[in-house]
Amino acid sequence: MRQTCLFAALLPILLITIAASPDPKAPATSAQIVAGAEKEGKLVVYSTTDSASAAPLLKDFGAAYPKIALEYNDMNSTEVYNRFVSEAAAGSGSADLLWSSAMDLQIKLANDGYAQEYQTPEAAHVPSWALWKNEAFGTTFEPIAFVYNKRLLKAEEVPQSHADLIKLLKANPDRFKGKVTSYDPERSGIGFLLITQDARTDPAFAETEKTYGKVGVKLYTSTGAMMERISSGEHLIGFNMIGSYAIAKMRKDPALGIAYPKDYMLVMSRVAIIPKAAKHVNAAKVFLDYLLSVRGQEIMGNRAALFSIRPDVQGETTAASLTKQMGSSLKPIPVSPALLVYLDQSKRLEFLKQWQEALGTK
Amino acid sequence: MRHAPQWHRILAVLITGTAVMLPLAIIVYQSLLDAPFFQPSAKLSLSAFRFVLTDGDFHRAFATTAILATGMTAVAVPLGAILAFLLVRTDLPGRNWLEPVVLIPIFLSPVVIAFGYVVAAGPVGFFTLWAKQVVGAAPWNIYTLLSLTLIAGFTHIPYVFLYTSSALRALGADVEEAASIAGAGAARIALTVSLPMVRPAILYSAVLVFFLGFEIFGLALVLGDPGGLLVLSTYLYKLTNRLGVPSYQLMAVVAVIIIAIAFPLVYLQRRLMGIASRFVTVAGKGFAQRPLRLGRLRWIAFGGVLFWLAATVLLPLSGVFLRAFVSAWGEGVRLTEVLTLENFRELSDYPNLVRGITNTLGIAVIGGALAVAWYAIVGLATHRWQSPWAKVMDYLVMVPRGMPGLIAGLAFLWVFLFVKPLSPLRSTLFSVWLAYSVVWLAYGMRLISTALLQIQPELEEAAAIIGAPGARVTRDVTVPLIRFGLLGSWLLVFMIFVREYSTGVYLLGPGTEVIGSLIVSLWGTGAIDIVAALSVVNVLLVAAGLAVALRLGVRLHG
Amino acid sequence: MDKLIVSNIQKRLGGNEVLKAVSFELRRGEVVALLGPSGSGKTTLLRLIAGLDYPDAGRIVLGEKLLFDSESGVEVPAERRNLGLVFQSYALWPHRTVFDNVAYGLRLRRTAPSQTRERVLSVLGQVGLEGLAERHPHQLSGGQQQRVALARAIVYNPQLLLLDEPLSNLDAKLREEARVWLREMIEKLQISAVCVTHDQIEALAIADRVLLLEKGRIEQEGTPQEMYENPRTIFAAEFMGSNNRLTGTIAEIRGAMAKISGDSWELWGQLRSDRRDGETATAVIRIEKTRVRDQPAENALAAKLETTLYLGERWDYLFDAGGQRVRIWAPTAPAQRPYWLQFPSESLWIF
Repeated sequence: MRQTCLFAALLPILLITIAASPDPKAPATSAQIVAGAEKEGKLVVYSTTDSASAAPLLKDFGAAYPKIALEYNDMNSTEVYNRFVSEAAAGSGSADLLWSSAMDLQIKLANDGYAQEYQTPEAAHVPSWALWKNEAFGTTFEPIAFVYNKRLLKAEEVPQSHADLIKLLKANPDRFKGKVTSYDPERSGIGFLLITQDARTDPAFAETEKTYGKVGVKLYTSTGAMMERISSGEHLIGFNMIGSYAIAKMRKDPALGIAYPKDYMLVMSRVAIIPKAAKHVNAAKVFLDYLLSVRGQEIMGNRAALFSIRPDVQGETTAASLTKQMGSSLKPIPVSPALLVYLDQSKRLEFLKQWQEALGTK
Repeated sequence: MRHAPQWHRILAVLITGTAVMLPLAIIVYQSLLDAPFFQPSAKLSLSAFRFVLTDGDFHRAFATTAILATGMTAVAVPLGAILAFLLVRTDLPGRNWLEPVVLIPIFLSPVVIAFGYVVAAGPVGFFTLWAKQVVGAAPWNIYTLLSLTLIAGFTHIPYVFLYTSSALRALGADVEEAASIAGAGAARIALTVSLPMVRPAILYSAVLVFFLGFEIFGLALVLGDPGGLLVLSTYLYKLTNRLGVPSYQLMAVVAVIIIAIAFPLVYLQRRLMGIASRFVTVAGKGFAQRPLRLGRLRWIAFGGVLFWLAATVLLPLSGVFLRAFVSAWGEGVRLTEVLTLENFRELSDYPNLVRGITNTLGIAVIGGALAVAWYAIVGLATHRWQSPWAKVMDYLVMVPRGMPGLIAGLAFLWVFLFVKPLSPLRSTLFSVWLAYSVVWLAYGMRLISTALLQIQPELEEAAAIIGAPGARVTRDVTVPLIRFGLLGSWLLVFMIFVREYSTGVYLLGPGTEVIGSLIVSLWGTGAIDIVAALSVVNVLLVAAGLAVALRLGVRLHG
Repeated sequence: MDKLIVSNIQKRLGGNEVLKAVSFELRRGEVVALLGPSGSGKTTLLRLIAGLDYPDAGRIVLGEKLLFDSESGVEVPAERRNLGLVFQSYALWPHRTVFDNVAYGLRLRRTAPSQTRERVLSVLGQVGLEGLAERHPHQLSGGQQQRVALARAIVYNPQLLLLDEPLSNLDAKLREEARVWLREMIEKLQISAVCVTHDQIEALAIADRVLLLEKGRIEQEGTPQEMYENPRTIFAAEFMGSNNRLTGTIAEIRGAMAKISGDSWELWGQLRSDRRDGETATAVIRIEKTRVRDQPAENALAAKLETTLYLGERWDYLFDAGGQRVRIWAPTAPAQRPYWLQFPSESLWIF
């Protein structure tokens, strides 16, 4: 009892000390917003990052801002969008911050006027391609890579580029029949985004598609589902896999290997937006600043395996380390309205039709 | 008594009617719009129908579903009927302990079963690898339509068993004895007397299995994925993302189509039920019945039943349990090196999973009791009630039967979003409970009415003659007499609610997590370690319910 | 030689000894009635003969064929015994027509279709169901259904016909007609039959020989006349007819005769048990053997008329004779006069 009293008495002093100390790693959120956030005391986040991956981040946020109760809901990317749009239309309470890997849907929300502007003090440290109109904020720098089964694929066979992969598949059509996996662009938003980026970036995409079709590529809706099957040997290799998940999984599963394609490697960024209707606006701003701050980014880069985006953050899974390793072959997908092209129904369906035809599934 | 106002009864009908019709109405309305109904730009249009009906994927999904439904009916009906005959009428070894065991597939979540098949008998499943060593190549492929049909057929055998066996039990032994005296052996008796005499029940279950085939979701979700097999419900699931943004109108169209197929079948079922009850009146006097001797067939039949149980329950469950206790599996993995309890420890790291487990328990125990209470109130309200309202109720109850859980869940999401007085309850378990209770209304009502039908009308009439008003008759005679029936219904509903997975999928959110929908959702994200651990928890919960039910002597068939 | 020999049959059902070493024989062409109250084991015995259930011990032989023997472990199942059975409920198959019901046994015996047809139609003619072959059972009356059941049981010429309470599902009026018809049919077919019934009139009417069962034992067996006129036990006496009973003590024994006396009465009768002087005994006499006199007579008691019942064909008088109730049947209405009831000593059995 006495201890609790003492702690309660000390708490404000402690907090003031934290806020006042000019810690260069701490988020540079204005004291006013932090105070507002603490008064709100709550923050609702809809996110596609599963709780497991986000856990270190959330724990640290909780330590930094103990007065903000964080309600973190992970769901799939379509669900984040659908839920938010429905709730917004119904005028019932919804999220204060959306943090999603479906970059196109996040931009669409911003473009449709659902997002509010915020001048984050961390903006200067984030690459400009990752920010749009102070409304949509890229927070991560995640490589899109190949994942393969180490037991069943020899080290020298592991493809080092998209062209390598095609060569490997063409050389062993029987061995790879039904053994290659990737996202289903029809069922997965991120899968669609990635394959359309491939279509733009890969000069030999028509040939690539056809080869996938020949080996009967198996399509799933998540990197996790694909990795499970690669690990078990049901499939041998997967492309357009989200590297951050693969690295997290590899730490537990020695059967998995990851390969970064050297011709070009797409880089995806989890985009955060703050809805206009957010009930806990200040808390949302605090969380956004935290995600972009050195403190948050270091956790992403070193503990959460989410790949930090800030160039000034060092660590295992960071933009800095990837850039050092891969250089100019990195192809970040810009957070911009260019992503909206394929949300046009007819363009989307046309692309899907062409994709299915190339795969020979239609 | 007939002229007294029956407001309490009418109220029960109206409330149930609203709970049933509102989601249906929203679905139909949504299907006739060109955008999600909450968007201001939405206009009345048939464009969604046009899109779906001209979509090649839809055609394929429809054809696949039709083949699947027909095939699984062709598998499940004869085998289920034979199983019923073997267990009810013959001296099959172990028929007493087999009786509850053969119903287990009903209480297992199809997602869990399908997932178990992948681990046990998938391309690199441990049985497959073992068979590969023996035969040289994988002798089967569980991702084909044929396998899916067989598995679906096998897992639906208990439904046929359920209806056929209760009809067989109602059948007097004398008709079989007459055939036996005339010179017929057990097999011939089954084919020429017993099964033909319960034909209405068999037809009824055939119709049931056929439309369950149209609603199949979990099995197709897991087993259809790698082979690119789409059925109507997974096609609907796929539409969630087809256009990149919510295409609720398209999903509603598919829902309307599934409902349009299911309704005539449900109606047909009702008709058959009527015919069936007329048939039963011929049943003769039951003497202390001696099981028919199978002779040489005895052990062959026993082997057949065991094989089916092994293939339908043991095989997938062994897969699930194995996967739950290893960190990796498949080709080249030594299982002894990967054994772990980590997957279960991990469950506790996720507050939503822990909530999912407690929520599941809550919704099954408390929600199950409330659902049974609701069913009982509706059942009592219409019990021996000569009124058009009672007829209306009869049909209302059948409506949710035609609505697959996935769709009902979606509809209830909309109801809770847009019916303002309900919206504060959306993120609470109440939304899931209401959806579950409505989806299982027909099932629950059948349990209640079975209990009610066992009361001889004279018992209630006697109380009424002595001067008890309607409510007193209900309280003093009817309810005490069905008390055990209500307890049994509660246990059955408990298991059904633990098992349920599709209804909660669209309602899944913070506060509404339940194991079933978490499994579907986590399966989608590929968190297989957790799916396996959750599946084991799910199976154990069902097993606990089953154990209690058997302990109390609850009959597992309504 | 279609002789049925049932020996030492024992059967327990749910802990109850339903049959305790029952033996009997049935000669060719004979009709035996298994008579007894409910619980006497008669239906069980029939089912054991039919093969619908198996005895715990004993032996059943039909003609040359051993059907059951507990010692050598022979158990011929019902379908290989070649018997006919008419069920109490008839057990007609509702999903088959009359024709198909009857033809079933022939088809199982792989009879040629044309022959089957001929045989079925002829049997249907025999039982008086011409023209009803295409009906379904529920379209027939109770009596017609019974005939179908019989036709189905006899169509393949079984070695033995079994009848389980064949008339109990008919109403009283129809039952009397059916009784006559059934006896005629059995005589015409010259078939051996075992008929289970709880109705002694039915047993007397149909059977050549009656087996009276009580508590799993054969109480008495004999021709209908023997059974009715010469019962050896009080149970048989009571079960076979309507009686007057008087309870008293044995006062004197003279050879086969004994004197039974009560408070203020004494009667001579046939001693039918090993009762001795001074022991309590019951005197039983068929109602129709009890006479009414208007003056004292031999072996008669003065009686007071208590009440009368008018039953149409006759009157039932109820008397008080020395504190005992006595019934008699009379053709006319009672008159106001003194009554003496005479119990002819050759008809009064003392047990």
